[in-house]
Amino acid sequence: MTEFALSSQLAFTIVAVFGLAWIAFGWWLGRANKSHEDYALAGRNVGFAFAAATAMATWVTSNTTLVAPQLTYQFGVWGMIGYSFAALGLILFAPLAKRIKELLPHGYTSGDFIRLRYGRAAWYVFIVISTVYAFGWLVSLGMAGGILLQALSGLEYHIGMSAILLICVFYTLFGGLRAVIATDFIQALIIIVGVVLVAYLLMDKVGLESIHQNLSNDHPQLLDLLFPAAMMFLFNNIFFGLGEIFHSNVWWSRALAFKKRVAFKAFFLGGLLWLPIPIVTGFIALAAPQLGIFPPSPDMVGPTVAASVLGEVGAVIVFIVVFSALASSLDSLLAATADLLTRDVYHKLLKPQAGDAQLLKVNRYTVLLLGVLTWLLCLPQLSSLGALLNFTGAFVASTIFPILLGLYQRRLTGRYACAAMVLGTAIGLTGYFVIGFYVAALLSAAVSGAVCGVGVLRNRQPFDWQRLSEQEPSA
Amino acid sequence: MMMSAETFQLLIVTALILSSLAPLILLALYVKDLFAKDLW
Repeated sequence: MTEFALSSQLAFTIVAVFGLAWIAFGWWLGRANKSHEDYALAGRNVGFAFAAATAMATWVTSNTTLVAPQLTYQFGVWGMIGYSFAALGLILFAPLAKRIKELLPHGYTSGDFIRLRYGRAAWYVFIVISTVYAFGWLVSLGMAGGILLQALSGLEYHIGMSAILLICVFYTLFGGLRAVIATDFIQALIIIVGVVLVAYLLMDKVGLESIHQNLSNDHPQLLDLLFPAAMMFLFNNIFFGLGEIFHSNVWWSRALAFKKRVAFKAFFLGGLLWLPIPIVTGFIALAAPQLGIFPPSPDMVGPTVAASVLGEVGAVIVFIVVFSALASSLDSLLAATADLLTRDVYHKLLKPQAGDAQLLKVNRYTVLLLGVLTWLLCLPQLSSLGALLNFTGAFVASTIFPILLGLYQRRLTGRYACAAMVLGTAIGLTGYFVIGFYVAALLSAAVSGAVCGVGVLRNRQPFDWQRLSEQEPSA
Repeated sequence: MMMSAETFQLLIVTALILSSLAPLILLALYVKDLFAKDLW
């Protein structure tokens, strides 16, 4: 038996077949894109089926398939239940999505909202936060691709990472958000069917009673319902998830792209569909101690258990599931970050007179540029996946209250929103370095919330919502 | 406090059933949108 679950030829063949199919599909869908609005927001006309699937699939990242089992392996049942609470982010974003469609009928990005609602200073801070987060996530996804291919098949890290990035960059480049959303639908089906299949086969082979019995005897802490470290992680994870979804243009661009009547129900259903997935992926890890599996890296516990129990078939299924999960998030992030940079930096800061054709061209170049930058940052494989993402928690959690209050409360001004994001991030980062990763998002959200609270109490001049309905002059 | 075997089984089986329903729901919505010409 070889050291790896899959041969590197088989792994590369799977990547090549799926990659070529997705690039061809992206090119075919991209033919319908006639304007920048078509490319960036799929014509603002996405129906319920595609909308719900893209909300769910984008939130299933490499973390859901690799880190949820890892956390279950470390924190037990609280690990998987805690991880599934991240569904709250999608569910709570549902009413916000409806509100966004009402307040910004012509908006393009989350940056548009911050600029029009709070002014330039807060907008600059927000762009910095969004860019740090986007690169943190992009690099962690690119690295996850390389690490996954290497762990399952022995394929060299740089080849795997480059292949996954290349595929996602090309189909996003050709098809824009339309291609991203349509591939998300197919990827969502692949992810759920694959995860359920592995869990069902595992349950059939090992048995639930037997897993519980083994855990009770040898690892009772994994069944402990009062595990303090796990509960701390749970609350930090909720705020991190809320910050990620509330601020990121990945979700705003979807809210703006969905048909008005489906925005609320698509995010709500997407959240409900996502909720059980970390429990299913986490359960796979609970079989590890019984099977005598102690993986070299904890985030490979899910794939290792599947490959060990189900052989090459299990390894192939896991490989396709994680590859789909990576692609469904990478493409979304590439498209949304390119939109943000094109709209907020190029159009609003550098070239306000740019026409539609020019913006479309710049948006495509930006997708390519982001792909190249991500590839360069992924080359040295600097940080572990968890550490990289948790670092951005301090940034994104500071935006929760400025976004939430900005959408519903007329008395929060730009000065306080800006101070809330700066102070929240600073204190969150201090907590990250002085105490630990598990308090960064909590501290950031708490400080930002307190500053916003003072701002709402002190201001007497309400904001006029009409100022948000900025419309571009027709080209 | 340990999670009982019954609760553990209920949690995993419920998550599996809900996850199994998800592709069916998405496909049903797709067919509905397709016939209503409401995909995009």
